[in-house]
Amino acid sequence: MAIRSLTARVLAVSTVWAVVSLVVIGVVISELYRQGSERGFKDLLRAQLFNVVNSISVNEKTVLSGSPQLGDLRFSQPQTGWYWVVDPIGEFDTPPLISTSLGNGKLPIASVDEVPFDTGYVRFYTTKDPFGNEVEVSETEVVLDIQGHTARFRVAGNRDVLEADINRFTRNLTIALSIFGLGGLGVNALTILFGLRPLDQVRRSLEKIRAGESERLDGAFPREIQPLANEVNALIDSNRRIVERARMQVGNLAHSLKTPIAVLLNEARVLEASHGELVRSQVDAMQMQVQSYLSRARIAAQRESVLARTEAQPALERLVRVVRKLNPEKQVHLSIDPPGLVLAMELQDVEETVGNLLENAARHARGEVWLNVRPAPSEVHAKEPGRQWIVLDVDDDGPGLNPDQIALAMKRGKRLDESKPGTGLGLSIVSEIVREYQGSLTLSRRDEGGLRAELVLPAAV
Amino acid sequence: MRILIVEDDVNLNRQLAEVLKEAGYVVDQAYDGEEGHYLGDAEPYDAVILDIGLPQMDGITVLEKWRGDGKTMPVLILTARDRWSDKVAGIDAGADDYVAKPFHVEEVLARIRALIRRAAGHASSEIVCGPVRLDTKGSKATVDGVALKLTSHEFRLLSYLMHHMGQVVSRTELVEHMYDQDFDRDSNTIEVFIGRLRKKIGNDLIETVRGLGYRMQAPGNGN
Repeated sequence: MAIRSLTARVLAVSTVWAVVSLVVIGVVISELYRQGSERGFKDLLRAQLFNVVNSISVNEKTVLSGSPQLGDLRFSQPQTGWYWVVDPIGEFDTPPLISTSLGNGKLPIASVDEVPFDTGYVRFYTTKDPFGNEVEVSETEVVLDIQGHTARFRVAGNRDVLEADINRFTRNLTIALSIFGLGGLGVNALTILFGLRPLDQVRRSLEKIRAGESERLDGAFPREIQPLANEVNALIDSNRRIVERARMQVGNLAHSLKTPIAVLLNEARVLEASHGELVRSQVDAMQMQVQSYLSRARIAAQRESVLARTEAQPALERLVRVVRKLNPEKQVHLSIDPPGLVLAMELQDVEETVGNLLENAARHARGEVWLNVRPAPSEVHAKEPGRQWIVLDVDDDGPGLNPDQIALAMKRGKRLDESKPGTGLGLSIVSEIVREYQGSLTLSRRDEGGLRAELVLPAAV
Repeated sequence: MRILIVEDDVNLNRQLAEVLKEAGYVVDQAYDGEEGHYLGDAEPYDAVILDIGLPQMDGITVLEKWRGDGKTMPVLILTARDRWSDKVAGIDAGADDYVAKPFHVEEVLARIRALIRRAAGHASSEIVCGPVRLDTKGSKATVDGVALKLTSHEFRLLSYLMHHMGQVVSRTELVEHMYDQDFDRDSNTIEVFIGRLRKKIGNDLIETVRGLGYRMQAPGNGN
């Protein structure tokens, strides 16, 4: 099973590890505690055993005598599981001494074969007292006098006390380790969320790039993410280069086709009428294709121009200079008020829009063309608050157009006047560029006669 | 009227040359930038058709060099690149007009006629000198409304003289503008053509300025 979430992956692994390690730690600690407790319990029993040994002796009648003072009430209360017993061994006829707590009961003895004595001649074993308590017994044998009278000394302690202590410890340990484990998992989850946050930042930056609001992955990323960001930036750059190259090649291809198209177009005129017409119409179709691919490549290039700025005055003056030179018999007037206006457009696009309109105006004008540029009135701003616009009026004193002709003129590739040169693409290129910048193009009749083309284009703030 | 075509595409160059010759112009052809630049520098042309995308030396450079050397003949540039930035570059380099490919050769012819006329200072497509009217669009001439029958050499001579009405035009200048570079020129033939032309349009319109050349002007305009 593949886990698709990084967070889940890390959490799963860390949870398994935390549970396993905490269980092992719990088992080890509780086992060590048990061993320690057992040792302490046995040390206590051994100490009591020696107390009993010290307080018992054989008197002149060869009878066991003495009463051990163990300072523990459990040896005097009945059936507590805490007992001491002294038994005579061998030719030693005397009643055994037994703690009050055992009463008339008997404490079973383990065989020496199963539980041998240790080096201190003491042995420990677990057994059951007559009342059902599980007891730990410490046992030793001591020679009491020079005649060799020997007695077996036993002190028993209730194991319940020990088990209860160990269980209490284990329970507390489990609670503590569980809290620790859960806390650890929480910290892990937080660490992952915090640690993976730069990835989210990368995602948001990429979104911006896709939306065209940004050109590359910017910002300081952690050392682990930075190489990724660098790679993404390199990828974006190389993509842009590829697109740029492809666009240039489309442009070169389209442009290189124009000369052969011109040759065919002219050669077709001398062909026999029917063939000539066929060739001419096919060549026209080729020409339309070339133009439309060129304008498509141009518009694709525009998407990257988010932060473009073009100063109106020098750009428009240059265009007016060209139009004046190409139409020396026409007067072209330029007025920019105030002079410092800046358009939020690529220079090329300003040239294409205004240039084509000026050229149309000059072609149809009787004698004069006007280009008037001014900031847009406030009702234009209301369309999109916060954005400023610039109005450019291209006027001529030519015959103008009626409303039907205006509607026709805005259609792609239409030429109203087939007798005057031009591909007919001028106006459709203008409206495509204008649309790309969310501006507008309106054709209307001037009061004084002639045509007015009103461009509304974005201003740079 | 003598025209230089600088265009590397052999077919397009030929088509342009054919149409211009048909219209009565003398045509020289060049196929790369260096050859074109050399011809434009060395020969007096009445107009040049210059492609922008040329081998050896691009059209803009050729044009800038000519203008830098003080050459003022009208230049019409041809280019596949029809963006405004290209037009601006062409005009700023000194071009007088601009035709984007693909084009009908007639359009180039019309533009060339207009350029030549404008360069000579005539606003209208018809040039009038007394009873003689020259229709630059139709390559025709009339005297008192009657069509003149002229050979191509006679027409070129009349056209050049009328474009430069009132100015003294030397024989060498006439030869240079009437024949292409390969023609075996003999300035004496000019006298023969002038004589024929005078018979057709009347003696008093073309004046011989001794030692200098010829001047055409309407009677009564002279001094």
